Amino acid sequence: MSKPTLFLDTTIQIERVVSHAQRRTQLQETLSPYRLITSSYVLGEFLRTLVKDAIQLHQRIEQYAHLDEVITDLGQHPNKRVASRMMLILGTLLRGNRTAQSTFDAQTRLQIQDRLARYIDFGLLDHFFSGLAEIIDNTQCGLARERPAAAFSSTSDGFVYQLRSQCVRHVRECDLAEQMQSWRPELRALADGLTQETDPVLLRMGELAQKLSEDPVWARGRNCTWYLGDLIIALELPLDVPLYTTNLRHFAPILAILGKRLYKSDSP
Amino acid sequence: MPKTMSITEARDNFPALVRRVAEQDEPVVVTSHNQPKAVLMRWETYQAQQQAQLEGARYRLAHCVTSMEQLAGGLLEAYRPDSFDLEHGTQNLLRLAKEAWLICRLLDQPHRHLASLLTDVLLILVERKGQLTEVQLARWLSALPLLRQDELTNELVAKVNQALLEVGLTSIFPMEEADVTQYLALVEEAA
Repeated sequence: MSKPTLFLDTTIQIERVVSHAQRRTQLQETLSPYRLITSSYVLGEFLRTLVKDAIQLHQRIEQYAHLDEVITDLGQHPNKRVASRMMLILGTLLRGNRTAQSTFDAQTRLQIQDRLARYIDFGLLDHFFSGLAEIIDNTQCGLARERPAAAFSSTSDGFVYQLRSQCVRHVRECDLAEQMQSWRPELRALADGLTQETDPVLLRMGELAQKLSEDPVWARGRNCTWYLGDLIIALELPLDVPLYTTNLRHFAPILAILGKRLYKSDSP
Repeated sequence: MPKTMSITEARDNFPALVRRVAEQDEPVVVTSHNQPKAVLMRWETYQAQQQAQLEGARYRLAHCVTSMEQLAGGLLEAYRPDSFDLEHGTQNLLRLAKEAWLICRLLDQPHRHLASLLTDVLLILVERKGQLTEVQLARWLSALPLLRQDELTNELVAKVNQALLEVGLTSIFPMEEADVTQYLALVEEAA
């Protein structure tokens, strides 16, 4: 008998990669009865969060001789959310060196530098793809096809990784607009259904759905934000497949309108 | 004693200096504020030194890999879960793997990746007070000979990463539960 299918969204994919052993085991047990799928759009989101954060952190470690300088630089980062995400990754990597003699010595810096390079070259993506049976590619997301590449940087005087994580406006590199066209009835249903919500994020998604049903091409390019991302994941989710996510607050009402299912497991 | 020259003097006579170093095969130390900052040397000499350093690193690495193979092989042969030997042996494997990584810093990136991978899977396990299962130990041991290969690629190391992941050995440092929650909240907030 074939296994039932389960769709993994970006939050669960990030959890699968970075969670501690106990949660990872719990996730493995939860997921083992299922045939796991995700989409290229989720892969694109994964690349522009976790992989991009690792790249930006690696660049800073390459740039500065001492880790305290890296931390100061992160403190001065204009985007506080991105800086906080990088700090969480750095904290985790430093904790990994607790068994070493000193946390802030030159060797630790090199070790973290190499570790991040390995994460970027294949580590994070290997974990992303692990156990997946299929990657739905309705949107033909161009960013999902991007991979980190090392290039010489004159500012840091060494090799740094680069990854394009933003779409180029007016350049067609995905089928998002065509998909939005085919999802027009669902978009109208979302636009109507979400007007009743009190959560400002859901209201914003409802407005987006309305805008997209009128002008599907608008989805393409830099307008492709996280608001839109959640809508896309909900729309590309097959009818008979439940979605596994930690973001219940946003997905529960969206999926209810679309007549799709949410997977509910024991919370971590 | 190698000849020394100030950075100003070197700048003013650079073409002649390069010619002299190349012809006489004598390195020149360039100083700034009386402190040695760089060395100018004949290209062939530099290459020979690099080659010697590389060969030295490969020799030390091969020695280190043999020690790990003997230790891991011994642990596998007399595998006993929850034993002091296994715990102590894993700690020693971790120390040797870190030593291998330090040597690999002198080699290419695939070697560095492999040594760092083999170190980190053990480090993550030890940090979490876990122990290697027989299957995990065998899989870890089977990857060691690759460190001896002169030609190694990132693709091959990625396959080792996948093979270790298959038996539950992760190479990604786990975040604390609260940190994962915080990270995901920050990702969602970015909307």
